Amino acid sequence: MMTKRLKSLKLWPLYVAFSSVVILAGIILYALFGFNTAAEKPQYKTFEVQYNVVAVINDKEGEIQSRCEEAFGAQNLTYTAKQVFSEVSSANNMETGNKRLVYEFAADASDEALNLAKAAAEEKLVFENLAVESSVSVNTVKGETFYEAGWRAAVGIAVGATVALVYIGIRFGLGCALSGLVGVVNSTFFTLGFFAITRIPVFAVGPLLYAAIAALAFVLLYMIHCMKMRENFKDSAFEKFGADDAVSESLKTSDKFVCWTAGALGAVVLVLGAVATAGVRLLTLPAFVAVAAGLYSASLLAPAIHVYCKRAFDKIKRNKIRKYSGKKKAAKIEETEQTND
Amino acid sequence: MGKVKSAICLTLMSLLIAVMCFFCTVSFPLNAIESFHSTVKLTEKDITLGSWLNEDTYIGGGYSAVYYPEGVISAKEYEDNLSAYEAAGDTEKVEEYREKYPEALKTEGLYLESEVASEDGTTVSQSFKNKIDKTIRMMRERFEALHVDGMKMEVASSYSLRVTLPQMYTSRNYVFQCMSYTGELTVAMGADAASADTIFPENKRNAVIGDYLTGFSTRTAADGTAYLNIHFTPAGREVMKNATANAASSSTTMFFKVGNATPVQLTVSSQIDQSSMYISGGFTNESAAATSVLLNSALGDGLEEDLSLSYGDMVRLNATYGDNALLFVYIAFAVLFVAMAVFFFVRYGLLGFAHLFTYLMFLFAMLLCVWAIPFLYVGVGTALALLFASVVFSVCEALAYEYARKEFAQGRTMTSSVKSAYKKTFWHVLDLHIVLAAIAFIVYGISLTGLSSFAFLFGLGIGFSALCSLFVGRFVWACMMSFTPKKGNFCRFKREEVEDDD
Repeated sequence: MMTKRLKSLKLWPLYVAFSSVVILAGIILYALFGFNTAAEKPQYKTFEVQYNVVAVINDKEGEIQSRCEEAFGAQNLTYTAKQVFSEVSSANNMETGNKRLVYEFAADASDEALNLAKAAAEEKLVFENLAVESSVSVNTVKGETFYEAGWRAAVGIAVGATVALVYIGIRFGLGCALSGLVGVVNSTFFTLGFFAITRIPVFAVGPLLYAAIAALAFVLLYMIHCMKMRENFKDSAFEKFGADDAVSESLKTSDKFVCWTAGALGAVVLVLGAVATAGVRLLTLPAFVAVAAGLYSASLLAPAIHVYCKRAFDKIKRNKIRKYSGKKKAAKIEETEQTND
Repeated sequence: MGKVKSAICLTLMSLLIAVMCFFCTVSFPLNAIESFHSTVKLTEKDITLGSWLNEDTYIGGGYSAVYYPEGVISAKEYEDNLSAYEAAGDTEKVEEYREKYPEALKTEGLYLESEVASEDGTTVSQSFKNKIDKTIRMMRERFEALHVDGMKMEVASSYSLRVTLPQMYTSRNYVFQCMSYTGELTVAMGADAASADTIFPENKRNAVIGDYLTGFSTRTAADGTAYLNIHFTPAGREVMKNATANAASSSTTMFFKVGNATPVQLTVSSQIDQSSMYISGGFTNESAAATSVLLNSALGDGLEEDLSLSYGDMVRLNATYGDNALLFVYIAFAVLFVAMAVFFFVRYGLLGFAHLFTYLMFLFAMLLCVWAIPFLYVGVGTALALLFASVVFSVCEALAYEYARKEFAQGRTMTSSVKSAYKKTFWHVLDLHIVLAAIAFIVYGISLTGLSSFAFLFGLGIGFSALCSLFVGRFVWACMMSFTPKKGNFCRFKREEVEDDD
C-alpha cells in the first residue's frame, strides 16, 4: 500500500525541478546583481556636526540636535540613524570632550536639500551661539568590500562538508554519503539562491553564515534519518521491503524526531530575531531560511535520492553474494527479489 | 548507586553549579572604588554588541579614524585655519589660503589642495584620481590582511578613508598609525634614521627592493613572544652580510623605512648571515601582524610617489546594533532556556531536573571558555553557536530518554532500560558529534573572522555536548533516580498495556 511518506519519496522529480529552478535563478540573479547587502549600508549620506566640549558642559547638545532636525524638517529630509560619537585623542587614547553628531540619510537623499539644511543649521548654530567652534559637513559614504573572508568561508564549508560526507560514507554506507552530497549541495545553494532571488537585505557576512548553518542543519537532521535507517535495516522485518518501502518505513520512525530538532533550531533563530534590536534581527531572522532548507533537503530530497542509491547498492550486494555463495543462498536471494518485484 | 553516594554526588554537583553560576553571572561592588565583575560582564564583546562595565569603561563597540591623503583636508580643518587667518586680520594669508584650497575643488566635506589635486585649479586631475584609487586599494588590502572581525572601511566624499576597528582589538592606535605609512620600502644602516646609508636597494642601476627581500611574516613563540620574521633573497643575504661585517666591533642601527617613516629599527651587534631573521622588539601578536602587513604592502606595492596619509583623532562607537542589543540577546537566551526546561519537564517529568543539571554544567563550562580563550568574544554569531550547540545537546539527551522510554514500555526494568538506551544511542550520538565537530573545526581552520569564531565555539560546544550527553547526563540521571521508588513515574515512562485475551 502506498503510504503518504512513500508518496513523498516518489515526488523526487518535483523536488529536483524546484531546487534546480531556485538554484539556477539564484546563480543568474547573483551574477547580475549580487546579494542585497543593504543591511551593511553599502552607500549612504551623512550630515555631521562636530562641536566642542563647551557645548557639552553648557548642556546644549539637545538644542543642537533639535536645530539640525528643524533644518531637516524644513527640507523634508528624513534621517535613517542618529548617533553621537565621543572624540578620542590618538595620542593618549583619552576622550577629548569633543563630540560628533552624525545623522545618516539614504544614498538617494537630495544633495541640494542636504546642503540647504546644512546652511540653515550652520546659521542657527552660529546665530544662537549654541556651540562654540562647531562645524557641519555633508558626506557621501561608500563601504569597501573585503573578499578574502568570503572565498575562504566558501572553501571552509566545502571542505568541512566533504570530510563529513566521507565519514558518513564510512559509517553509514556509500548510499547515505551520495544522497547526503546531493542534500548538502542543495541545502547550501538553495539557501544562497533564495537570498539572491528574494533580495532580502542581509549583512555581508550573512549569505555564507546562512550557507554554513544550512549545511550544519542538513547534516544534523539527515544523520538522524541515517542513524535510524542503519538501525532499522538490521531488523529482519525490513528485509522483506523493497528499497522505497524500506526507506519510507524507516523515515516514519525518525520523522518526528527530525521535525522536533528542526523546530528547536528554527525556534532559536526566531526567538533571537524576535526579541532583539534591528541589527540582530537582520542577522538572525534570515537564518530561519537556512534551517528550513536543511529540513527540506534532509526530509524530502535526500531520502528520495537515497531510495535509488539503496536500490543500486542492494543490487550490487546481492550480485556479490550470488557470486560467492552457494546454490541455496542464491536461490533464497532470487526468491526475495521475486517477492520484492 | 546507593542513596548516600547519590546524595553526596548531587550535593557536590549542585555546589559546582552554584559556584560556576556565581562567577559567570554575579557582579557587585566590593567597596567604593572596586567591584567584583562576573565573567560574562568581563568577556570581550564584538563591535556589534557592548555594555558598560562601570561608569567609565565600555566593553564592546569600536573606534573609527579618518585618513586624509596628501592634498586633502576636512572642511572643519579648512574652516578653523581660515577663521584663524581672518581673526588675525591677515588678508593676504586668507587669499593665499583660499587659492590653495579653491571652492571649485571642494568635494562635499573635503577641500582639495590645488597644487596636488589639480592641473588647472578648477577640476580634479586624472593623475590625482588614479593615485587616490591606488591608495584606497592599498589600504583595503592592508586592513583586509589583518583579519580582524568587525572591521569596516568606507570611502567618505570620494577622497578620504574611514576605518573602524573593534574595541577588543587592543593595538588599534598602533595599527591606525602604522597603516598610514606610505611610500617605498628601504633598509638603511647608520647612527640615526635621517643620516643612515641605504643598503637595500643598492645604489645601482635597476636595483629594486624585491631583489633583496622576499617578504615578512610573524611567528609566536611558546612563551607568547611575538616575532617579526624577515626573509632575504640570496643577494639580500650577501649584501646584509657585507653591511654588518664590522657590527661586532662597532654596533650600529638598522632602519626599515616606509617612505619617511621608520616602523622597525634594531640595533645590530653581530654579523647577520642568514636567509631569514627574527626580530622580537616588544611586539604583541597584533602589532607584529600589522607591521608585517605594512612591510609586505610596501615591499610589493610601495612607490616613492605614493600619496602620504594623515589621520586625526578617533571617535568611539558604542555597539553598532544598539545600546540594548546585548540585553535583548540575554532575554532571548532566557526565553529559549525556559522553553527547553518546560519541554523537558512536561515530557519527562522530574527527569527534567537531570537534564537541567547537565545543561547548566554544559552552559557554564562554555561561558567560562568564552571568557578564558583569548580570541573568543560575545557576539551574535557566538550566541548562535552556543544556542545551536545547546540544541544538539538537548536533542542527544532526548534521544537517549526516548530510547529508554521505549525499552521501559516493553517491560524492562528502569536500570536495564537506561543501560540499553545508552548502549543503543552511544554510537549514534558519537557519530553525530564527530561529524558536526569535524565540520565546525575545519570551517574554523579555513575561514576568517566572524564565521571562524562561530565555527570554533560551535565545535567546542559539540565537544562539551558529547561529554555531557554520553557521560555526565547518564551519571546525573542515575544519581537522581536512586531517591525514588517509582522510577517510571519519576521519568513519566509508562508500560505498554497488553490486551488480555481471556
